Amino acid sequence: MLIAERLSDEELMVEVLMGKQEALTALVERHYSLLLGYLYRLLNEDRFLAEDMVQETFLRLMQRGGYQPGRAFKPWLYAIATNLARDHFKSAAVRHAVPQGEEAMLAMSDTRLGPEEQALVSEEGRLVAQALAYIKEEYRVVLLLRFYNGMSLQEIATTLHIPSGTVKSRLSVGTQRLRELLVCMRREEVKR
Amino acid sequence: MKKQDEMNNQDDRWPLDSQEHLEEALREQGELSEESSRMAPILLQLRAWRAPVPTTEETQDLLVRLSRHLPAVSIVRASIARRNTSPWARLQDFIEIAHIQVSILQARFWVISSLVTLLGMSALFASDDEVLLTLILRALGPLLAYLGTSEFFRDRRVGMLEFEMSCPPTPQQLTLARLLVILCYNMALGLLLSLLLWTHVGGNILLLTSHWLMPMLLVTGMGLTLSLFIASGLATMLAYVTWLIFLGAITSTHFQSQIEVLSQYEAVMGLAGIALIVIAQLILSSSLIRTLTDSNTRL
Repeated sequence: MLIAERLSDEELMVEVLMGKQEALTALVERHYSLLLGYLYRLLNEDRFLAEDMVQETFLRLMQRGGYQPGRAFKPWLYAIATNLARDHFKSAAVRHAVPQGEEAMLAMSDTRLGPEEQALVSEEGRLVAQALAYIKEEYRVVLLLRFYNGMSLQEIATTLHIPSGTVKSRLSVGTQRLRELLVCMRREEVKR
Repeated sequence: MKKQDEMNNQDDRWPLDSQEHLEEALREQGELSEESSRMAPILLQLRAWRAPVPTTEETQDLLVRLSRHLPAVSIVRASIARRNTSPWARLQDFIEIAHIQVSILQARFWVISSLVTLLGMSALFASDDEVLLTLILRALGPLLAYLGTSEFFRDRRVGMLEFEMSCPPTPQQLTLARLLVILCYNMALGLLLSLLLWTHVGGNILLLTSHWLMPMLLVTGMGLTLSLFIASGLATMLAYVTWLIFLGAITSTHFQSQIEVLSQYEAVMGLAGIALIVIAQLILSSSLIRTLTDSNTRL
Protein backbone atom coordinates (compact mmCIF):
# COMPACT_ATOMS: atom_id res chain seq x y z
CA MET A 1 0.00 0.00 0.00
CA LEU A 2 2.86 2.32 0.86
CA ILE A 3 4.39 1.67 -2.56
CA ALA A 4 1.06 2.34 -4.30
CA GLU A 5 0.82 5.70 -2.55
CA ARG A 6 4.12 6.79 -4.07
CA LEU A 7 3.07 5.96 -7.63
CA SER A 8 1.47 8.48 -9.98
CA ASP A 9 -2.10 8.01 -11.23
CA GLU A 10 -0.75 6.91 -14.60
CA GLU A 11 1.57 4.30 -13.07
CA LEU A 12 -1.23 3.02 -10.85
CA MET A 13 -3.55 2.69 -13.84
CA VAL A 14 -0.98 0.57 -15.68
CA GLU A 15 -0.81 -1.67 -12.60
CA VAL A 16 -4.62 -1.86 -12.55
CA LEU A 17 -4.60 -3.01 -16.17
CA MET A 18 -2.24 -5.75 -15.04
CA GLY A 19 -4.78 -6.87 -12.47
CA LYS A 20 -3.24 -5.37 -9.32
CA GLN A 21 -5.82 -4.99 -6.53
CA GLU A 22 -3.68 -2.59 -4.43
CA ALA A 23 -3.35 -0.20 -7.34
CA LEU A 24 -7.12 -0.20 -7.87
CA THR A 25 -7.67 0.53 -4.18
CA ALA A 26 -5.21 3.45 -4.24
CA LEU A 27 -6.74 4.89 -7.42
CA VAL A 28 -10.32 4.62 -6.15
CA GLU A 29 -9.40 6.18 -2.80
CA ARG A 30 -7.72 9.09 -4.61
CA HIS A 31 -10.52 9.87 -7.04
CA TYR A 32 -13.81 8.45 -5.78
CA SER A 33 -14.83 11.44 -3.66
CA LEU A 34 -14.03 14.15 -6.21
CA LEU A 35 -15.52 12.19 -9.10
CA LEU A 36 -18.70 11.54 -7.13
CA GLY A 37 -18.91 15.25 -6.29
CA TYR A 38 -18.48 16.19 -9.93
CA LEU A 39 -21.16 13.81 -11.19
CA TYR A 40 -23.50 14.63 -8.30
CA ARG A 41 -23.41 18.32 -9.26
CA LEU A 42 -23.51 17.65 -12.99
CA LEU A 43 -26.50 15.32 -12.61
CA ASN A 44 -28.47 17.80 -10.54
CA GLU A 45 -27.89 16.20 -7.17
CA ASP A 46 -29.05 12.71 -8.16
CA ARG A 47 -26.80 10.78 -5.81
CA PHE A 48 -27.86 7.30 -6.90
CA LEU A 49 -27.30 8.06 -10.55
CA ALA A 50 -23.95 9.70 -9.71
CA GLU A 51 -22.88 6.56 -7.79
CA ASP A 52 -23.84 4.37 -10.75
CA MET A 53 -21.90 6.55 -13.13
CA VAL A 54 -18.79 6.57 -10.91
CA GLN A 55 -18.83 2.77 -11.01
CA GLU A 56 -19.43 2.75 -14.76
CA THR A 57 -16.59 5.24 -15.28
CA PHE A 58 -14.10 3.02 -13.45
CA LEU A 59 -15.37 -0.08 -15.24
CA ARG A 60 -14.88 1.56 -18.64
CA LEU A 61 -11.36 2.54 -17.64
CA MET A 62 -10.57 -1.06 -16.80
CA GLN A 63 -11.90 -2.44 -20.07
CA ARG A 64 -9.50 -3.36 -22.86
CA GLY A 65 -8.58 -0.08 -24.58
CA GLY A 66 -10.36 1.91 -21.87
CA TYR A 67 -7.13 3.66 -20.94
CA GLN A 68 -4.07 4.30 -23.10
CA PRO A 69 -0.85 3.98 -21.05
CA GLY A 70 1.24 7.13 -21.14
CA ARG A 71 -1.75 9.49 -21.36
CA ALA A 72 -2.69 11.81 -18.48
CA PHE A 73 -5.04 9.88 -16.19
CA LYS A 74 -7.22 12.57 -14.63
CA PRO A 75 -8.48 14.14 -17.89
CA TRP A 76 -9.11 10.62 -19.22
CA LEU A 77 -11.19 9.74 -16.12
CA TYR A 78 -13.27 12.91 -16.28
CA ALA A 79 -13.72 12.63 -20.05
CA ILE A 80 -15.38 9.23 -19.57
CA ALA A 81 -17.53 10.54 -16.71
CA THR A 82 -18.58 13.64 -18.70
CA ASN A 83 -19.46 11.55 -21.76
CA LEU A 84 -21.54 9.19 -19.62
CA ALA A 85 -23.44 12.13 -18.16
CA ARG A 86 -23.96 13.61 -21.61
CA ASP A 87 -25.24 10.28 -22.91
CA HIS A 88 -27.63 10.21 -19.99
CA PHE A 89 -28.94 13.68 -20.80
CA LYS A 90 -29.39 12.66 -24.42
CA SER A 91 -31.03 9.32 -23.68
CA ALA A 92 -34.59 8.81 -24.82
CA ALA A 93 -35.79 8.10 -21.28
CA VAL A 94 -34.57 11.44 -20.00
CA ARG A 95 -35.91 13.29 -23.04
CA HIS A 96 -39.35 11.85 -22.53
CA ALA A 97 -39.49 12.09 -18.78
CA VAL A 98 -38.15 15.61 -18.41
CA PRO A 99 -39.09 18.73 -20.37
CA GLN A 100 -36.23 20.36 -22.27
CA GLY A 101 -34.54 23.64 -21.36
CA GLU A 102 -32.72 25.23 -18.49
CA GLU A 103 -35.90 25.78 -16.46
CA ALA A 104 -36.61 22.09 -16.70
CA MET A 105 -33.15 21.32 -15.33
CA LEU A 106 -33.85 23.70 -12.46
CA ALA A 107 -37.11 21.91 -11.74
CA MET A 108 -35.30 18.58 -11.85
CA SER A 109 -32.72 19.78 -9.35
CA ASP A 110 -35.54 20.66 -6.94
CA THR A 111 -37.34 17.36 -7.21
CA ARG A 112 -34.44 14.90 -7.17
CA LEU A 113 -33.56 15.48 -3.54
CA GLY A 114 -35.29 13.51 -0.84
CA PRO A 115 -36.88 15.49 2.02
CA GLU A 116 -34.05 14.57 4.38
CA GLU A 117 -31.38 15.73 1.96
CA GLN A 118 -33.31 18.90 1.13
CA ALA A 119 -33.35 19.75 4.81
CA LEU A 120 -29.59 19.33 5.00
CA VAL A 121 -28.79 21.62 2.11
CA SER A 122 -28.23 25.19 3.18
CA GLU A 123 -30.25 27.99 1.63
CA GLU A 124 -27.11 29.45 0.08
CA GLY A 125 -26.17 26.06 -1.37
CA ARG A 126 -29.63 25.71 -2.89
CA LEU A 127 -29.21 29.12 -4.51
CA VAL A 128 -25.89 28.11 -6.06
CA ALA A 129 -27.31 24.78 -7.30
CA GLN A 130 -30.24 26.62 -8.92
CA ALA A 131 -27.98 29.22 -10.51
CA LEU A 132 -25.70 26.54 -11.99
CA ALA A 133 -28.72 24.57 -13.24
CA TYR A 134 -29.73 27.63 -15.27
CA ILE A 135 -26.41 27.63 -17.08
CA LYS A 136 -25.99 25.67 -20.30
CA GLU A 137 -24.29 22.30 -19.96
CA GLU A 138 -21.16 23.25 -21.94
CA TYR A 139 -20.48 26.17 -19.56
CA ARG A 140 -21.57 24.26 -16.45
CA VAL A 141 -19.10 21.44 -17.10
CA VAL A 142 -16.10 23.78 -17.30
CA LEU A 143 -17.24 25.68 -14.19
CA LEU A 144 -17.57 22.47 -12.20
CA LEU A 145 -14.21 21.11 -13.34
CA ARG A 146 -12.50 24.41 -12.63
CA PHE A 147 -14.01 25.55 -9.35
CA TYR A 148 -15.02 22.31 -7.64
CA ASN A 149 -12.40 19.92 -8.98
CA GLY A 150 -9.51 22.41 -9.19
CA MET A 151 -8.49 21.41 -12.70
CA SER A 152 -6.01 23.49 -14.68
CA LEU A 153 -7.06 25.06 -17.98
CA GLN A 154 -4.98 22.50 -19.87
CA GLU A 155 -6.50 19.57 -17.99
CA ILE A 156 -10.01 20.81 -18.81
CA ALA A 157 -9.01 21.24 -22.46
CA THR A 158 -7.71 17.65 -22.57
CA THR A 159 -10.79 16.32 -20.77
CA LEU A 160 -13.25 17.97 -23.14
CA HIS A 161 -11.08 17.70 -26.29
CA ILE A 162 -11.30 21.43 -26.93
CA PRO A 163 -8.57 24.09 -27.33
CA SER A 164 -7.50 25.88 -24.13
CA GLY A 165 -8.66 29.16 -25.73
CA THR A 166 -12.18 27.74 -25.87
CA VAL A 167 -11.89 26.67 -22.22
CA LYS A 168 -10.97 30.25 -21.28
CA SER A 169 -13.86 31.75 -23.23
CA ARG A 170 -16.36 29.23 -21.82
CA LEU A 171 -15.10 29.92 -18.31
CA SER A 172 -15.35 33.65 -18.87
CA VAL A 173 -18.91 33.50 -20.24
CA GLY A 174 -19.95 30.92 -17.64
CA THR A 175 -18.49 32.88 -14.74
CA GLN A 176 -20.16 36.13 -15.85
CA ARG A 177 -23.52 34.38 -16.26
CA LEU A 178 -23.16 32.65 -12.89
CA ARG A 179 -22.33 35.92 -11.16
CA GLU A 180 -25.35 37.66 -12.71
CA LEU A 181 -27.63 34.80 -11.72
CA LEU A 182 -26.33 34.69 -8.16
CA VAL A 183 -26.76 38.48 -7.72
CA CYS A 184 -30.22 38.36 -9.27
CA MET A 185 -31.37 35.40 -7.17
CA ARG A 186 -30.01 36.96 -4.00
CA ARG A 187 -32.06 40.10 -4.74
CA GLU A 188 -35.18 37.98 -5.27
CA GLU A 189 -34.56 36.21 -1.96
CA VAL A 190 -34.24 39.52 -0.11
CA LYS A 191 -37.50 40.81 -1.68
CA ARG A 192 -39.34 37.69 -0.47
CA MET B 1 -26.91 11.36 11.58
CA LYS B 2 -24.66 9.41 9.26
CA LYS B 3 -25.94 11.39 6.29
CA GLN B 4 -25.42 14.62 8.22
CA ASP B 5 -21.76 13.63 8.73
CA GLU B 6 -21.41 12.80 5.07
CA MET B 7 -22.80 16.14 3.96
CA ASN B 8 -20.61 18.06 6.35
CA ASN B 9 -17.44 16.13 5.55
CA GLN B 10 -16.78 17.98 2.31
CA ASP B 11 -13.72 18.61 0.20
CA ASP B 12 -12.87 22.31 0.22
CA ARG B 13 -10.12 22.40 -2.37
CA TRP B 14 -8.47 24.95 -4.55
CA PRO B 15 -9.63 27.38 -5.90
CA LEU B 16 -12.55 27.70 -3.51
CA ASP B 17 -10.55 27.49 -0.30
CA SER B 18 -9.91 31.23 -0.16
CA GLN B 19 -10.81 34.46 -1.94
CA GLU B 20 -7.16 34.95 -2.98
CA HIS B 21 -7.04 31.59 -4.72
CA LEU B 22 -10.32 32.25 -6.43
CA GLU B 23 -9.07 35.65 -7.68
CA GLU B 24 -5.90 33.95 -8.90
CA ALA B 25 -7.96 31.36 -10.79
CA LEU B 26 -10.09 34.10 -12.35
CA ARG B 27 -7.02 36.05 -13.47
CA GLU B 28 -5.52 32.88 -14.96
CA GLN B 29 -8.62 32.33 -17.04
CA GLY B 30 -8.29 35.84 -18.50
CA GLU B 31 -10.32 38.11 -16.19
CA LEU B 32 -8.88 41.54 -15.38
CA SER B 33 -7.54 42.14 -11.88
CA GLU B 34 -10.33 44.52 -10.84
CA GLU B 35 -12.99 42.27 -12.29
CA SER B 36 -11.53 39.26 -10.46
CA SER B 37 -11.60 41.12 -7.14
CA ARG B 38 -15.23 42.14 -7.78
CA MET B 39 -16.35 38.65 -8.81
CA ALA B 40 -14.48 36.57 -6.24
CA PRO B 41 -16.66 37.34 -3.16
CA ILE B 42 -19.80 36.47 -5.11
CA LEU B 43 -18.35 33.29 -6.63
CA LEU B 44 -17.09 32.23 -3.22
CA GLN B 45 -20.71 31.32 -2.56
CA LEU B 46 -20.08 28.24 -4.71
CA ARG B 47 -18.58 26.71 -1.59
CA ALA B 48 -22.04 26.50 -0.09
CA TRP B 49 -23.14 23.84 -2.58
CA ARG B 50 -21.81 20.71 -0.94
CA ALA B 51 -21.54 17.30 -2.50
CA PRO B 52 -21.71 14.05 -0.54
CA VAL B 53 -18.45 12.36 0.38
CA PRO B 54 -18.43 8.56 0.26
CA THR B 55 -17.98 6.76 3.55
CA THR B 56 -15.36 4.07 4.09
CA GLU B 57 -18.06 1.39 3.70
CA GLU B 58 -19.23 2.87 0.41
CA THR B 59 -15.64 2.96 -0.87
CA GLN B 60 -15.21 -0.69 0.12
CA ASP B 61 -18.48 -1.62 -1.61
CA LEU B 62 -17.34 0.07 -4.80
CA LEU B 63 -13.96 -1.68 -4.61
CA VAL B 64 -15.62 -5.08 -4.19
CA ARG B 65 -17.79 -4.45 -7.27
CA LEU B 66 -14.83 -3.18 -9.34
CA SER B 67 -12.49 -5.96 -8.23
CA ARG B 68 -14.68 -8.52 -9.99
CA HIS B 69 -13.75 -6.83 -13.26
CA LEU B 70 -9.99 -6.55 -12.69
CA PRO B 71 -8.30 -7.83 -15.85
CA ALA B 72 -6.32 -11.07 -15.71
CA VAL B 73 -3.09 -10.33 -17.57
CA SER B 74 -0.24 -12.61 -18.61
CA ILE B 75 3.34 -11.86 -17.52
CA VAL B 76 4.34 -11.01 -21.12
CA ARG B 77 1.49 -8.51 -21.55
CA ALA B 78 2.26 -7.02 -18.14
CA SER B 79 5.87 -6.51 -19.21
CA ILE B 80 4.77 -4.77 -22.44
CA ALA B 81 2.36 -2.51 -20.57
CA ARG B 82 5.01 -1.58 -17.98
CA ARG B 83 7.39 -0.61 -20.75
CA ASN B 84 4.95 1.98 -22.06
CA THR B 85 4.74 3.92 -18.81
CA SER B 86 7.50 6.49 -19.39
CA PRO B 87 10.36 7.36 -21.77
CA TRP B 88 12.84 6.48 -19.00
CA ALA B 89 11.28 3.01 -18.62
CA ARG B 90 11.49 2.55 -22.39
CA LEU B 91 15.17 3.59 -22.40
CA GLN B 92 15.98 1.22 -19.53
CA ASP B 93 14.22 -1.54 -21.37
CA PHE B 94 16.12 -0.82 -24.58
CA ILE B 95 19.46 -0.95 -22.73
CA GLU B 96 18.38 -4.27 -21.23
CA ILE B 97 17.52 -5.63 -24.71
CA ALA B 98 20.92 -4.49 -26.03
CA HIS B 99 22.62 -6.17 -23.08
CA ILE B 100 20.83 -9.45 -23.81
CA GLN B 101 21.80 -9.26 -27.50
CA VAL B 102 25.51 -9.41 -26.56
CA SER B 103 25.00 -13.06 -25.57
CA ILE B 104 24.17 -13.91 -29.19
CA LEU B 105 27.73 -13.18 -30.31
CA GLN B 106 29.78 -16.34 -30.39
CA ALA B 107 33.28 -16.78 -28.93
CA ARG B 108 34.90 -16.68 -32.38
CA PHE B 109 33.76 -13.10 -32.82
CA TRP B 110 35.46 -11.95 -29.63
CA VAL B 111 38.62 -13.88 -30.49
CA ILE B 112 38.87 -12.59 -34.08
CA SER B 113 38.09 -8.98 -33.18
CA SER B 114 40.68 -9.08 -30.38
CA LEU B 115 43.25 -10.51 -32.79
CA VAL B 116 42.52 -7.76 -35.31
CA THR B 117 42.98 -5.15 -32.60
CA LEU B 118 46.25 -6.74 -31.44
CA LEU B 119 47.44 -6.89 -35.04
CA GLY B 120 46.63 -3.21 -35.40
CA MET B 121 48.51 -2.38 -32.20
CA SER B 122 51.63 -4.24 -33.24
CA ALA B 123 51.55 -2.62 -36.69
CA LEU B 124 51.20 0.81 -35.13
CA PHE B 125 54.24 0.27 -32.94
CA ALA B 126 56.30 -1.23 -35.78
CA SER B 127 56.42 1.95 -37.85
CA ASP B 128 56.77 5.70 -37.39
CA ASP B 129 55.42 6.63 -40.81
CA GLU B 130 52.27 8.61 -40.08
CA VAL B 131 50.80 8.07 -43.55
CA LEU B 132 51.29 4.32 -43.35
CA LEU B 133 49.82 4.23 -39.85
CA THR B 134 46.79 6.18 -41.04
CA LEU B 135 46.38 3.67 -43.82
CA ILE B 136 46.40 0.80 -41.29
CA LEU B 137 43.68 2.53 -39.28
CA ARG B 138 41.61 3.01 -42.44
CA ALA B 139 41.86 -0.68 -43.25
CA LEU B 140 41.27 -2.01 -39.73
CA GLY B 141 38.25 0.15 -38.77
CA PRO B 142 36.06 -1.23 -41.59
CA LEU B 143 37.40 -4.74 -40.92
CA LEU B 144 35.86 -4.58 -37.45
CA ALA B 145 32.61 -3.36 -39.02
CA TYR B 146 32.69 -6.30 -41.43
CA LEU B 147 33.23 -8.82 -38.61
CA GLY B 148 30.47 -7.40 -36.40
CA THR B 149 27.85 -6.89 -39.08
CA SER B 150 28.31 -10.32 -40.65
CA GLU B 151 28.14 -11.98 -37.23
CA PHE B 152 25.12 -10.08 -35.90
CA PHE B 153 22.80 -9.58 -38.88
CA ARG B 154 21.07 -12.17 -40.99
CA ASP B 155 20.00 -12.03 -44.61
CA ARG B 156 16.63 -10.27 -44.85
CA ARG B 157 15.14 -13.28 -46.66
CA VAL B 158 15.78 -15.45 -43.60
CA GLY B 159 13.20 -13.33 -41.73
CA MET B 160 12.55 -13.44 -38.01
CA LEU B 161 12.83 -16.55 -35.92
CA GLU B 162 9.63 -17.68 -34.24
CA PHE B 163 10.87 -16.86 -30.75
CA GLU B 164 11.95 -13.40 -31.89
CA MET B 165 8.45 -12.66 -33.14
CA SER B 166 6.80 -13.92 -29.96
CA CYS B 167 9.00 -12.18 -27.37
CA PRO B 168 8.01 -8.79 -25.88
CA PRO B 169 10.68 -6.63 -27.66
CA THR B 170 9.65 -5.80 -31.21
CA PRO B 171 11.81 -7.01 -34.13
CA GLN B 172 12.68 -3.36 -34.82
CA GLN B 173 13.97 -2.94 -31.27
CA LEU B 174 16.05 -6.09 -31.63
CA THR B 175 17.75 -4.99 -34.87
CA LEU B 176 18.35 -1.50 -33.52
CA ALA B 177 19.79 -2.89 -30.29
CA ARG B 178 22.15 -5.17 -32.23
CA LEU B 179 23.30 -2.30 -34.41
CA LEU B 180 23.94 -0.20 -31.31
CA VAL B 181 25.93 -3.00 -29.63
CA ILE B 182 28.13 -3.61 -32.65
CA LEU B 183 28.78 0.08 -33.34
CA CYS B 184 29.64 0.77 -29.69
CA TYR B 185 32.00 -2.23 -29.50
CA ASN B 186 33.75 -1.34 -32.75
CA MET B 187 34.06 2.29 -31.71
CA ALA B 188 35.64 1.28 -28.41
CA LEU B 189 38.25 -0.82 -30.21
CA GLY B 190 38.90 1.87 -32.83
CA LEU B 191 39.21 4.50 -30.15
CA LEU B 192 41.77 2.33 -28.37
CA LEU B 193 43.83 2.05 -31.56
CA SER B 194 43.69 5.77 -32.32
CA LEU B 195 44.64 6.62 -28.72
CA LEU B 196 47.67 4.34 -29.03
CA LEU B 197 48.62 5.93 -32.31
CA TRP B 198 48.17 9.38 -30.80
CA THR B 199 50.50 8.55 -27.89
CA HIS B 200 52.96 7.03 -30.36
CA VAL B 201 53.16 9.71 -33.07
CA GLY B 202 51.07 12.57 -31.67
CA GLY B 203 48.85 14.72 -33.93
CA ASN B 204 45.15 15.57 -33.82
CA ILE B 205 43.17 12.87 -31.96
CA LEU B 206 39.89 13.83 -33.66
CA LEU B 207 41.50 13.53 -37.08
CA LEU B 208 42.97 10.15 -36.16
CA THR B 209 39.56 8.97 -34.98
CA SER B 210 37.88 10.09 -38.18
CA HIS B 211 40.40 8.02 -40.20
CA TRP B 212 38.80 4.76 -39.00
CA LEU B 213 35.36 5.88 -37.83
CA MET B 214 34.13 7.30 -41.12
CA PRO B 215 35.17 4.30 -43.26
CA MET B 216 33.69 2.03 -40.57
CA LEU B 217 30.30 3.79 -40.82
CA LEU B 218 30.47 3.64 -44.62
CA VAL B 219 31.24 -0.09 -44.70
CA THR B 220 28.55 -0.84 -42.07
CA GLY B 221 25.99 1.17 -44.07
CA MET B 222 26.98 -0.48 -47.35
CA GLY B 223 26.94 -3.95 -45.78
CA LEU B 224 23.49 -3.49 -44.21
CA THR B 225 22.04 -2.02 -47.41
CA LEU B 226 23.45 -4.84 -49.54
CA SER B 227 22.14 -7.42 -47.03
CA LEU B 228 18.63 -6.32 -48.04
CA PHE B 229 19.26 -7.97 -51.41
CA ILE B 230 21.88 -10.69 -50.83
CA ALA B 231 23.05 -12.90 -47.97
CA SER B 232 24.44 -10.78 -45.12
CA GLY B 233 27.84 -12.55 -45.02
CA LEU B 234 28.35 -11.93 -48.72
CA ALA B 235 26.99 -8.37 -48.45
CA THR B 236 29.37 -7.30 -45.69
CA MET B 237 32.31 -9.00 -47.39
CA LEU B 238 31.45 -7.25 -50.65
CA ALA B 239 31.28 -3.91 -48.82
CA TYR B 240 34.63 -4.44 -47.11
CA VAL B 241 36.39 -5.74 -50.26
CA THR B 242 35.04 -2.73 -52.22
CA TRP B 243 36.50 -0.44 -49.56
CA LEU B 244 39.88 -2.25 -49.67
CA ILE B 245 40.00 -2.04 -53.48
CA PHE B 246 39.18 1.66 -53.27
CA LEU B 247 41.87 2.22 -50.64
CA GLY B 248 44.37 0.17 -52.64
CA ALA B 249 43.64 2.09 -55.82
CA ILE B 250 44.18 5.39 -54.05
CA THR B 251 47.40 4.38 -52.33
CA SER B 252 48.92 2.83 -55.45
CA THR B 253 48.83 6.15 -57.30
CA HIS B 254 50.35 9.30 -55.82
CA PHE B 255 50.35 7.81 -52.34
CA GLN B 256 50.91 10.97 -50.25
CA SER B 257 48.61 13.37 -52.10
CA GLN B 258 45.77 10.89 -52.58
CA ILE B 259 45.74 10.01 -48.89
CA GLU B 260 45.40 13.72 -48.06
CA VAL B 261 42.56 14.06 -50.59
CA LEU B 262 40.85 11.10 -48.93
CA SER B 263 41.06 12.85 -45.54
CA GLN B 264 39.12 15.80 -46.94
CA TYR B 265 36.22 13.55 -47.92
CA GLU B 266 36.04 11.53 -44.70
CA ALA B 267 33.09 13.53 -43.35
CA VAL B 268 31.16 12.87 -46.57
CA MET B 269 31.95 9.16 -46.26
CA GLY B 270 30.70 9.10 -42.66
CA LEU B 271 27.46 10.92 -43.55
CA ALA B 272 26.88 8.59 -46.50
CA GLY B 273 27.44 5.63 -44.15
CA ILE B 274 24.92 6.98 -41.60
CA ALA B 275 22.39 7.64 -44.38
CA LEU B 276 22.78 4.06 -45.64
CA ILE B 277 22.39 2.66 -42.09
CA VAL B 278 19.18 4.67 -41.57
CA ILE B 279 17.78 3.65 -44.98
CA ALA B 280 18.61 -0.02 -44.34
CA GLN B 281 16.98 0.11 -40.89
CA LEU B 282 13.81 1.73 -42.28
CA ILE B 283 13.48 -0.79 -45.09
CA LEU B 284 14.20 -3.64 -42.68
CA SER B 285 11.58 -2.35 -40.20
CA SER B 286 8.84 -2.02 -42.83
CA SER B 287 9.74 -5.45 -44.15
CA LEU B 288 9.48 -6.92 -40.62
CA ILE B 289 6.07 -5.31 -40.11
CA ARG B 290 4.92 -6.96 -43.36
CA THR B 291 6.32 -10.30 -42.20
CA LEU B 292 4.41 -10.04 -38.92
CA THR B 293 1.20 -8.97 -40.70
CA ASP B 294 1.51 -11.92 -43.06
CA SER B 295 2.03 -14.27 -40.10
CA ASN B 296 -1.11 -12.88 -38.40
CA THR B 297 -3.13 -13.26 -41.59
CA ARG B 298 -2.02 -16.85 -41.92
CA LEU B 299 -3.03 -17.50 -38.31
